[in-house]
Amino acid sequence: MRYAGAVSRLIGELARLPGIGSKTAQRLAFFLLSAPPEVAENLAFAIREARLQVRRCPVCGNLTDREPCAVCADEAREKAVICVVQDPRDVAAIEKYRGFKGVYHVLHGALSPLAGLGPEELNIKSLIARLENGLVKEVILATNPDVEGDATALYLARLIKPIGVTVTRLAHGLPVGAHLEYADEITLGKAIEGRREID
Amino acid sequence: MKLYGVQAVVINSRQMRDADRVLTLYSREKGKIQAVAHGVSKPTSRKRGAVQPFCHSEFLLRRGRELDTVSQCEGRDIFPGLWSDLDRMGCAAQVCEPVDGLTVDREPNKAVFDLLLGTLRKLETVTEFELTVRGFELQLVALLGYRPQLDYCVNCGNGSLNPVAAFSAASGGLLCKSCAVGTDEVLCSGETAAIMRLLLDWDPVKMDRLRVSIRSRNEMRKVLREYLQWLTEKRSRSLHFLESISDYRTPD
Ligand SMILES: [Zn+2]
Ligand SMILES: [Zn+2]
Repeated sequence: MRYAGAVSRLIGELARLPGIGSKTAQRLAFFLLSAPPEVAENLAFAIREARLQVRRCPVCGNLTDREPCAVCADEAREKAVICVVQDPRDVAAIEKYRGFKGVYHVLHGALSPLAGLGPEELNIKSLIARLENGLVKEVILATNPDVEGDATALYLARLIKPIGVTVTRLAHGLPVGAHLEYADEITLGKAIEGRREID
Repeated sequence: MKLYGVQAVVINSRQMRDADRVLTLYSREKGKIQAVAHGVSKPTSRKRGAVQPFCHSEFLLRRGRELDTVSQCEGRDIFPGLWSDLDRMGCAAQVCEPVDGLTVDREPNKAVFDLLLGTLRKLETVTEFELTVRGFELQLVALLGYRPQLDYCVNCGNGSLNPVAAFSAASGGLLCKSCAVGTDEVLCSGETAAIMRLLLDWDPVKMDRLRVSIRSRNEMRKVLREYLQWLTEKRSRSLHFLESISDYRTPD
């Protein structure tokens, strides 16, 4: 079905959001149009405010509404350990596990040999700049365990090791609760490779 | 029956919404196939390993209205050697990309499948991976009916080719010095042409024994980049990747 200009534009914009198909976009659009006007106005205002206030932290690249971000500004965080992740959502995931006391660096993507995504498209320059003062002792590469994540980790290791900073990679293990017989070959292989002594 | 089994190499894998991935497979039985693998980015998915790029796996696919879906899969060769080295990974991508670009869906070609799988196996261990990729590219285009003319000038038919001057992607072969006008052709010396003739028919196992100058390597890379770009009507992404990582210092 075709709708008049403003309505079809709204549906079109909503359908660009992740996880929203054209049917859901129509439902959302008609909800916004039939609800009291302040529902739509509040939503538009909230989106606009968030977009204006949230930017990339100049230090770590994570999304933040103040500069530097809460983690970078926190005196209690260990600035000598930087955990490198692909996406701001990964920071949120690691923060849920409260054991990590270091700081982050968000790349906003990963290298991709097949998509032709090179290092110039990632937030890498500012990571290298952070290592230049000699205060950082360890960089933990927490990229995803797939081709893109591995390519990114290999590239960063090549880049960072000559600077004299210790580079570590998250262990690729078996998911908690999984049985060995159900593990795929890559996971098992990496788990064996990354084994360590029990202390 | 809506289910069917194939043996295939994963030549591309793109993240879709949620934890799904769209795979491009090159199968022995049916040629190129697009298929969706649901939930494979979740740590609990058992299919996860076998759907990664470059993997050679057994697939059980379910026919769908638009895209087929992966019902089951099991990895046969997972090529850890390609995953642990950035240059080899880039070469593996260079091997998969033209197979995707030059073939059409569901047109099987067993020789292409064997060449692809054999080359990925070689790339894991061979020290001469650059020439292995060049040999692959030449043999792939030949298998698909685009064998370049490397024996005589495509314009005047001069067989002595003395001196060879250039390669024309649009004409699919060499040009002699008097026929090369220098607009869209690539420089190609006699030495380079001779090596390409060898690579066209050589077993990649022997690649390590070949001695090739830097100049010829560069010429060959450009010749094949132009030729593949002309045939696929696309710029090579994997080559761009390899070039962008070849500078290990800070990218600027
Ligand atoms: Zn920050
Ligand atoms: Zn001629």
